[in-house]
Amino acid sequence: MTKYIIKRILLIVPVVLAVIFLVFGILYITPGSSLNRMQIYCSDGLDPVLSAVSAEAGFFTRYVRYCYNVFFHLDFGASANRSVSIADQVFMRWQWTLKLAGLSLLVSAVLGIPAGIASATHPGGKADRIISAVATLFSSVPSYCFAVGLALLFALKLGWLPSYGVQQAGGLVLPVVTVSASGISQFIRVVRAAVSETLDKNYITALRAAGLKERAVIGVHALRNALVPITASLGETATKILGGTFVAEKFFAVPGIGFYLIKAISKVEYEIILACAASTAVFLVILNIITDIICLCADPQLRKRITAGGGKRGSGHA
Amino acid sequence: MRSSGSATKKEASARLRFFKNPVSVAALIVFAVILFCCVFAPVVSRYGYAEMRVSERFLKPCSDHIFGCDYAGRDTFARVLYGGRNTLKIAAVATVLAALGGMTLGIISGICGGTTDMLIMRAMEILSAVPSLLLVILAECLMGWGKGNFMYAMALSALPSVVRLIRASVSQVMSKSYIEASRALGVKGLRLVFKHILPNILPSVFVHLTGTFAEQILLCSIMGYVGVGINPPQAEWGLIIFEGYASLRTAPHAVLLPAAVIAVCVLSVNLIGNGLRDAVDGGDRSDG
Amino acid sequence: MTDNILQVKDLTVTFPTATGELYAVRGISYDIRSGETLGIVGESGSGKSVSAFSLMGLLKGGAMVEGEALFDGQNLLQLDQSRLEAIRGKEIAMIFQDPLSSLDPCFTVGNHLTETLLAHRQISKAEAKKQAEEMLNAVGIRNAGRVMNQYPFELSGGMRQRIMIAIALLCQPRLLLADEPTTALDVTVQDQILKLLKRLKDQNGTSMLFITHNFGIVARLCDRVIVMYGGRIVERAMVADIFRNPVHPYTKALLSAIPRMDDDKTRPLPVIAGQPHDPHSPFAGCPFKERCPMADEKCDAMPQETCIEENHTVACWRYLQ
Repeated sequence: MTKYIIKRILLIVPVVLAVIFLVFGILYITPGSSLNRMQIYCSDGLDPVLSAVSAEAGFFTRYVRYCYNVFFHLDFGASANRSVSIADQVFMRWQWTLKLAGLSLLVSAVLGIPAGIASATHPGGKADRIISAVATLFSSVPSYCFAVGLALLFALKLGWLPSYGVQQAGGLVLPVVTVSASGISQFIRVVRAAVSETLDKNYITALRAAGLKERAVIGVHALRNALVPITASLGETATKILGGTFVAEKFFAVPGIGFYLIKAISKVEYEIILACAASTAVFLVILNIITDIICLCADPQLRKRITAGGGKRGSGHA
Repeated sequence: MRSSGSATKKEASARLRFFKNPVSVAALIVFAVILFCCVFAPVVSRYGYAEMRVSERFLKPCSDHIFGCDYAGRDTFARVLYGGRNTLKIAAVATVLAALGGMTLGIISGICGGTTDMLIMRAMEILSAVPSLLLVILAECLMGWGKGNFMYAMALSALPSVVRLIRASVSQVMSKSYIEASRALGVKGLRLVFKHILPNILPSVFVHLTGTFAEQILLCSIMGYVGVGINPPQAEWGLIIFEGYASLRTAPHAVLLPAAVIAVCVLSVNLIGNGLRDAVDGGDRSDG
Repeated sequence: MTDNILQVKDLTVTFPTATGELYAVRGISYDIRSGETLGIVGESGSGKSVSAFSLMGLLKGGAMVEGEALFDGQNLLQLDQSRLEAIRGKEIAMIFQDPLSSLDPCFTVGNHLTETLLAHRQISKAEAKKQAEEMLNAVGIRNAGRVMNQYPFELSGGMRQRIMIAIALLCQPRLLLADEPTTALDVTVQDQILKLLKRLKDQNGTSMLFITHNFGIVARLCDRVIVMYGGRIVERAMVADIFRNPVHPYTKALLSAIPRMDDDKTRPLPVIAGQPHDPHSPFAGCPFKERCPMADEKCDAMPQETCIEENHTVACWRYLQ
């Protein structure tokens, strides 16, 4: 079990390298890309190692050099006018993105999971219908439309919260609410499906027949089993929330990674696009591995299969 | 094996259930109205999407301009209709592309199994692990910017879920005994797929695609909003919101009314999808 | 000791579905006497399982249950949630058709057993664990200590059904409802499970309602038998009488469809022509009418049950004087 987790964590390295390779490759062959003609810069100026050959350096040299700079010097190069270190920007901006996405994930989970459970345990009831309607509504209204309404009501009409500028007090409230709206609907859908599927299982009837209290049947057994598909979809949910975060950053001018990426695209700065895309991809790889490990902890069947497979190596019982 | 006669009967009863549901019917009517207005925008609206009248900047809604005018003095209603033309067309084409690609890959994956299946499913996992916004941007970087490529890029983001659905259905159906029976009778390969598998999975695929269409509308308008989709001065739903947002304080109508139309449109598509799902599922339940 | 432990009167179960009401059980009455095993035989869809589930209040899907089921002077069908929970597992226990899916895959066998015990008895966890292991031994599981820590998916079907039986008998219930407990098992395992059930039942003096579609099992295990078709009881008798003298056309057809050792090997096994009774049909007459070779217009009304010999009744117009 521990062995498997360590193996999974070590797997991050090749996967991250491959992901950067992919992103670097895509942006390298993009028509008009600066990655293939420019000299490779680190933030202190011209790269000392490559300065002599950089003009002719091929794809592979550039890729290796880029990875070397990123992993050993935490250096993503400098922007086109060489004025700012991209790395400083990337780290500063990820802090905002993580803050926004993390808070939104928390809010979505805290509101969406109980709502999904309530909906699944009273199918067809009043609560179920209201919750399902809210979920459909939240997933249908585009986040920017939702944000328009929020900004108009709370910032312009009521003046309670700033619509702009995240450094002010309460500046994160509207972005978090915006991102959470779609997050909540996502959680409701996933949890409702998982719990109602579990409640249909024979063992739930068997547990009831054994005289367990309904509270224990739902609170302990149904939820424990629903946890497996819920954690399995956690990666997808988090990815969706991250996507929503990017849009909310643009709308509320949060200096996050998504906003940085969008700005870089409009200014066609390939080094920045690369840094944003690669760091996002790396972040998602790590996120997926974390959810994999959580899944493993949640599902005893999977756990047993893995420990059995690892223990009896090549025993041919598979 | 059930004859095709009973399949059409099942379809008919699903259709009946759909039309008995007042919410689905209302959603269908609302969407049909929006679609009609967008498709026939030049007839419905007296103004063009790029006609500017400086004197009418930020005009409030009135009988001439029922949605008012935007910062450039363009009729917002016309822009919403022409924008809907773009957004709905792109979303529809992307959905169809995703459906065709997804069906092909899903069927290949489900039938071939083994390494082919593994490779396709790994690729889909990678695609679905990237937020669609980033995926579309990267794909557009790779293929070059433009309306056509934009549609391909959007289709790419919807591909994994379609492939997964088709593959799951195909391999589930493949394991059912009547397929084994037809195999034993010498029916095989693509004939099997087109004759026995596709008719079985089409209803659920169609329900899924309705949801995909709604997602694609959202995605397309988000790309427009963010500034990497359709370029101005063309109209696009997200773009309209983006252009209006700067003047939210002075002319909220230029944002709120288009936002309401977009929200109602996506909501109606989702409700149609829900209605279809209930109709199709309901048929299965009473059968089983 | 011939007092009744359970009296069911006019039990009706209806499910609302998208295509109209589904009449699963159409008014049945029966008693279970103390210490006896009553078998209910019928094909799938005859309402035999539904009637058992309804006694425990375990039906889903908005089922409408009417009638009366007296147990200890209280009507099971009217009990509130908490009273029902106190009876389930303690006074009346149930074992299910599919042991593969009837145990929670996320919990160990020990969890299942101790949780059931702790729900009904005021005992310590250690005591519960001890009793659970004893029970596992009693249902014939060796190395019970190890099995306690195993998950259901690590065990074979027969083992799982033994564990289901252990859970059911933990609190020494007075009535055991067994819903086709051997249908999903191999024939050899079936035999072991039946022997086990018979032994434990005799030891504890438990009454049992045994639902099955297999007349062979009825012959081995049951004292009396009820034959159900289309949500109604068509015949009831002592086990010996039903084999000696089946009366209802359905029972006759069912019994003649069983191959016998002394059969002419060339005789083709008879089949019952036609489709099973449509549970959606509101038809109030004899449900077997459409398939019955002797049906006539009288069968459009449901016949009363008539006694044809001691402890043997049938619901058929041909025997109604």
